[in-house]
Amino acid sequence: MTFSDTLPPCGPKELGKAYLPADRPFRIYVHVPFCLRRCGYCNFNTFTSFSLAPGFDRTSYPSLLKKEMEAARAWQEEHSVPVKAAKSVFLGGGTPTVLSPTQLSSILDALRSVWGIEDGAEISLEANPDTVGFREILALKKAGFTRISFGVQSWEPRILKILDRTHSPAAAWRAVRGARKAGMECSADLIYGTPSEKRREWERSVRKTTSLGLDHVSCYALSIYPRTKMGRMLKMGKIREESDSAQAADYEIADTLLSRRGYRWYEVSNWARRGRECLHNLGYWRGDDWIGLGPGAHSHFSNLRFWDFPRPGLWAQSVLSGRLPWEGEVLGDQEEAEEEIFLGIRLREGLNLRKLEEATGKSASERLPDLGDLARIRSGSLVATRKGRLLNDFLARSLMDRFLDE
Amino acid sequence: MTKSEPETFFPQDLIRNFSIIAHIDHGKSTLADRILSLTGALSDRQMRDQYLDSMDIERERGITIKSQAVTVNWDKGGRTYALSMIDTPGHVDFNYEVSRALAACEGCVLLVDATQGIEAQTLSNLYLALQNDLAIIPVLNKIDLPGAKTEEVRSTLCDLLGVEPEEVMEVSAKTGLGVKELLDAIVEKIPAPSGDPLAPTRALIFDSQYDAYRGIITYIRVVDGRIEAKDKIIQMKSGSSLVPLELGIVDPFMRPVDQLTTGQVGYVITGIKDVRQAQVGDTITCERSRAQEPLKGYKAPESMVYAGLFPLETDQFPLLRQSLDKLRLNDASISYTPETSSALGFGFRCGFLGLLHMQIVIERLEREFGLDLISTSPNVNYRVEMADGSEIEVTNPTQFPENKVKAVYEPMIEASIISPKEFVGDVMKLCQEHRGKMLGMEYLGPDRVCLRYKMPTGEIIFGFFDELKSRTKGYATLDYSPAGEEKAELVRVDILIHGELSDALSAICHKDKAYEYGLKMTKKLKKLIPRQQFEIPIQAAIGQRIIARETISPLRKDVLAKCYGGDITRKRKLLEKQREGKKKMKMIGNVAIPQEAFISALSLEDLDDKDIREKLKAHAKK
Repeated sequence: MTFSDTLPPCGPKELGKAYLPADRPFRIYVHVPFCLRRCGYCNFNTFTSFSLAPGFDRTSYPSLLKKEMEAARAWQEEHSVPVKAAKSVFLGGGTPTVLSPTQLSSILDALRSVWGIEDGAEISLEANPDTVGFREILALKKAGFTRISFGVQSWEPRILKILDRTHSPAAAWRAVRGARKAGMECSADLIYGTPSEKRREWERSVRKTTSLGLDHVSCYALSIYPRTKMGRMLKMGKIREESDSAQAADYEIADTLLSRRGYRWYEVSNWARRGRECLHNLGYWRGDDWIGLGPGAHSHFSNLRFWDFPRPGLWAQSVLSGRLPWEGEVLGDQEEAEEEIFLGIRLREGLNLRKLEEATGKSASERLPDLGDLARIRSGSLVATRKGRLLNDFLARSLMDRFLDE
Repeated sequence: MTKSEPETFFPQDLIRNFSIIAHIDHGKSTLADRILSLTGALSDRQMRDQYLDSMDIERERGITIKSQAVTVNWDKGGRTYALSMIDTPGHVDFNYEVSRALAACEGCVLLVDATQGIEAQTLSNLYLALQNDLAIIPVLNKIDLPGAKTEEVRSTLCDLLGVEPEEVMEVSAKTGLGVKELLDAIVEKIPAPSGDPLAPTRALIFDSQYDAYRGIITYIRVVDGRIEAKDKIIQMKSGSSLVPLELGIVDPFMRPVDQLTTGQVGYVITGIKDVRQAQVGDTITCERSRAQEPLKGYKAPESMVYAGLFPLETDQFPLLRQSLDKLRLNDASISYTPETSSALGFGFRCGFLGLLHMQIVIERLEREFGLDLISTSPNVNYRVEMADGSEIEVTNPTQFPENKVKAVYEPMIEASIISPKEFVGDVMKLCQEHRGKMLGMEYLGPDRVCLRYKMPTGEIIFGFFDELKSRTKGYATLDYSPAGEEKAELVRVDILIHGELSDALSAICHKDKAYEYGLKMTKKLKKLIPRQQFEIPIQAAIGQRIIARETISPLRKDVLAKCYGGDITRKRKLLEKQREGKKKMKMIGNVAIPQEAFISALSLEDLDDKDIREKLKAHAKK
């Protein structure tokens, strides 16, 4: 059995040579590594200064991205990786709206000219409630964005303060109303498990969220990483981490309230009205192809997974000198089968048993462990129950143990 | 049988055989070094500190495990004497070896640190020396140090030995002060060996060591007659008959000689590889002049403490077997039989001379053979009389019968504890807590008291010494020797994890201590076992009766919320790592337990919190 820990990291050339053709939808992710300030829990690849490296600042970023796009497309052609128009585009961060609507628009234009974007494609961006006014929203809509996802996190001022967020609940409310008024699809991210958050505070946040006519809601458990401000506070004993059972209770509250108001879960952390699921997000779990652009962005093509250098200096240096800032890994059968399992079991559509059998060469009827109340079989797929969603990693490992080990 | 020719013998009246009795750190090795350099046995260039402690572990721990015998020359009054210095182990686990080393001597140097005073170990070795009728030269060491309480310690020694103050010598082993005078005193006060050169050959094995290149090196003291290099020798106990490859004297290098004669100390190499064929205490004779009666005092090594040793990696089991086989070549006192544990897999139940011996063996197995081991809690051996009149020897808690027991006997020891008098109350309390019965108490000088107790061996092997040290600020010293067995009310406490017996955690306790063990072990495990997807009860039970219980609540959430920017690789690696981790865990039923949890649960570290104290108090009232 080989593990990817032992897979040597590959450069763009080795990756290209190892590519095995597969016909999958193509998507694009653009990482915008800028923020106005860093939140206490944040461990993302994002930076608050204007300039990140020689030749790399907020003004020049769209042109650097354009260079990476062109180099990436040339790489595809060189290695016979099919070039397709994108079915969805997602601008994430960081805070994409730190860039002006004009700049964001120019990024979309560049994507159109390099790959093309399908008509009617979902084009999303993440936004901080206090970095976009109604004027900007209109400009973004005009540029082609169809969907906006706000980092609301909470509607409770006390919790927003603990999370170190700059916006007020009022600003979030204005932002959501603006997006709806502009006719954009609209989503809100919420965080649960913030230290000291009371159950009723969380419940109020979820209720408020469901009252705004949003299309889509994501709820993420707060993870405190050691090298963040909150991580240091935790270590010093200034805050206390919420227990897993408290977090589980929060999740159950969210799931109950959201589904009561017509938001159905489609992935462990995501709920949407029917037909309003984020297709881009689904693509990650379904194993679609996508190219990630910008420092630290991840890409997936068939049997390849690679990522841009996360450090801005190294990234900009490569891009400016015409080299692809990538390294990555070639997945073997073992890794692909593992991914099939742990990606599929996160989705409401479930882990397709026929595909599982193909990937592992094992009979599902013989191998399927007794999963108790963690999963059910629904029209040929294994679907996690609510308990199975909360114990999803355990579920995935149990399946791997059964299907991948002799 | 050829007639011996005394005139070719080394003159018996020029031989002096002696040991140095001292407590750890009282300067025995330094004194030995000083003697080697002063007599010219080692040049300065050859001089290494603590030359006589040759094993790494001995050097690091500062204790001598194996004794060796070095012969040096010393001129006095125009004659050259051969002084053989027989080193003795300095720990209670090796009491028997000490007694054999002393049996090879006519006298000993009682070395006492003038800054510390006499300690329990020194005292017990001194009693051994007195039993052997050895001449004793009392010596105060470290007299040049500012903290030396020379006069106080001197008067204690006088009381103890019934000697005059002027008979107590003073040295500084470090600077060499007084060492010449000491060598002279050894010649004057220690009698020459008294064996019969014409009698059939008898030599005492007082030590044997395994050498990777030469096989077993047996250290002997010729008591009667002589051994020639060409003699066929017979080991009277094992009955094996061998031709020496080499006969010699350590000076301190191994120097071959043609013969060893009455009174001489030396070594013999026969090419055997197994130390059990040359056991300490056995008598060597030779075909040419065969003795009928062996020397007195032979004892087969007896295990006092038992524990299961298991490799952390199950595929290391064959290596563990090989390593124990090899280790036994130079340590005849280890015993082992295969053992299977549901929790820990395949391993061996091993018998040791004591807890230190056990630690040394484990350390050697890990260091010399590259093993990673987990050991169960040590226990002593019990004798169980069954209702039907049969008897069971229990060296492993799992062997302890649950019913139809008529009586259980546990091994006892007699302990001597020497402590400053202000701690006497604490020491007495500690001994009572460990079911000790006082045998006597006497003052050694104005401030120091020697307390003698009879206690169950099982009470002293766990942490008793550490506790004694902590309650007396490190001042008390302890020594003990086996003292038969006594009937006791003992029970086996089992630990059940999710209803499954975890055999490695079972323990035999006195019935009054069973609750404490159960309470502490279940609490320990609750802290150590990671939460799983279901509730896990942890119970302590005597037979069918549950005496303590803790519950590990189920894990409710085990999922990463998201994969940042589509970083699927990180998620996959995390899951792979978790899966690998689980494979390394031990399964008790369907509960996965990390090995570290077992290691910590089995460590002797005590658990103490408010809840435990309150529960124990409430239990005591009942």
